[in-house]
Amino acid sequence: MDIVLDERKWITGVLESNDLGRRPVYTVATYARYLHSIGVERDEMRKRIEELLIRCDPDVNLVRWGDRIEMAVKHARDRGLIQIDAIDITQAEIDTIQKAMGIQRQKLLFTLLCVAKYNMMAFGRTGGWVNTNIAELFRTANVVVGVDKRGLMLGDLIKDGFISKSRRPDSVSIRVNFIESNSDTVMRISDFRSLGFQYDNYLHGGYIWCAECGLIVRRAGWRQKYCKECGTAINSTNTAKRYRDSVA
Amino acid sequence: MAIDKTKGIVCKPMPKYWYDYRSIEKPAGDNPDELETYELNRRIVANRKPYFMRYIYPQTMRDYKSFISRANLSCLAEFRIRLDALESMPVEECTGGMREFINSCKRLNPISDNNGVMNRICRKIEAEFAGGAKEDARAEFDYSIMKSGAEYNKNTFYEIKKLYDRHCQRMSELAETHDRRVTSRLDTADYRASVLHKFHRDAAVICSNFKEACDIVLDICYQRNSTKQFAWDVASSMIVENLLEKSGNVMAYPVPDSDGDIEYRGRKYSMREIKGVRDGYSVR
Repeated sequence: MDIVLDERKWITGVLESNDLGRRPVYTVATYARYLHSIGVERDEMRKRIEELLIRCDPDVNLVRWGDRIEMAVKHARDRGLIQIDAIDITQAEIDTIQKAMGIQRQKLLFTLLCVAKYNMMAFGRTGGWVNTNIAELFRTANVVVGVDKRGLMLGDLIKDGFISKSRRPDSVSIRVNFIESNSDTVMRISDFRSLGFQYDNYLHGGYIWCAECGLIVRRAGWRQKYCKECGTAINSTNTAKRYRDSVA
Repeated sequence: MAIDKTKGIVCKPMPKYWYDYRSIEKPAGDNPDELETYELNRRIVANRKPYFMRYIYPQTMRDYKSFISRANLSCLAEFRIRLDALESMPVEECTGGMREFINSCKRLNPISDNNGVMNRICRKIEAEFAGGAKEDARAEFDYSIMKSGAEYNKNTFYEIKKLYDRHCQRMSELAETHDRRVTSRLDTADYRASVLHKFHRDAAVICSNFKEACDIVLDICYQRNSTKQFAWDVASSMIVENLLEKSGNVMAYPVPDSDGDIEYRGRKYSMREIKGVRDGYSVR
């Protein structure tokens, strides 16, 4: 899930790496808010955003970006940068989640809870509502089920009272009903990737954090240090280096 | 209307109450004629496109599919059956909640699914083609016939894969930021061409051997369930070259033939061959 807890730190990383990432429009909007936070005026803001776009992609068509840049500059003052250390999950909330039947439903509930709490802290939305795309929610919860089964699982959770749904048939907004902040903190979530694995790791262990990218993955062997993608990339780099050293 | 304005054609705009529900003002008094006009306007307001227009406007198709997907999810969550099953249930078996759900779906649907002539023709054509696309997709295909067999090392593969990921990002950016009207196809084609040209330039720096680059691109596209269009956009000439080499420089293609032995989607075809394609050709 592309949730950024500390936008100031993240945008500093973007400026160093010159990479707009998977959501270039969001990056531009966040950069505009960052520039507003350091007191940059509108005209200078436009110029700096264009310079960032050119640094990230020398072939960028600035005319096509014109409307988006204008929107970003116009809304730069709407809200400040999000700067959250971590989302706290309490013992009471974990106890409620464990009442759900099956680890898949529990992982889904945990993910919904984390996103609801993030919305509360980042945007001041106090209702516990989650408006994220359902497919993305299930992916982040590491729950792999068919499209129809997703609806049935949500129906079970609604029937048991853990969550509620919007009454409109075309809305998939979900409300988390068991947010209880007045309890001891037992988990601190600072990475919104693979929340389902993080929950499972908290209960049962058996996972590692990749030493390269920080992603949590299921442990495949006792000496495993990396996720599959980083491991393959590092292995091929090391192999190429060994080959070059051997022929040198 | 915007297009006509650009051409210099001056035309009177449509009254807003023809297509916007909220613009229909309720009359202040009790005049029965005014009330009747008000009710008539509310009944006949054209605030949605008809069903068949989802095949003309890509955005309408997207809105409709998104609506159906969300409504289906809600229906499964609430009634534990799919939306199409609920809609085909006899009225006497539906509960009050189910009837309300169906009525809400009809009201909120972004398209108007009435029984007009064009809508009925559209549904008939859909029924005719139902299931065909899925059967084609299930066919297994051995893509190794398109490869040259050139060996490449993993580093080169990962470098080109990074370029491919960046290319996909640009294409999704194109879909996200581009105007979705039908008239923007030329702009889309131009932008796509420039993005592909950039890929060619960057890939040539990483791997100057075109055969290797072609095999890498084929492995990236065909080893997983992703779009194959990219492979054909960047390496089509090399793929055809490889196929000709494996077929002994003979190209065979189907032509429509009423006595043909190949039947596909209701039409008959027979195969025709061209020998010596690369050296000038003769037809068999």
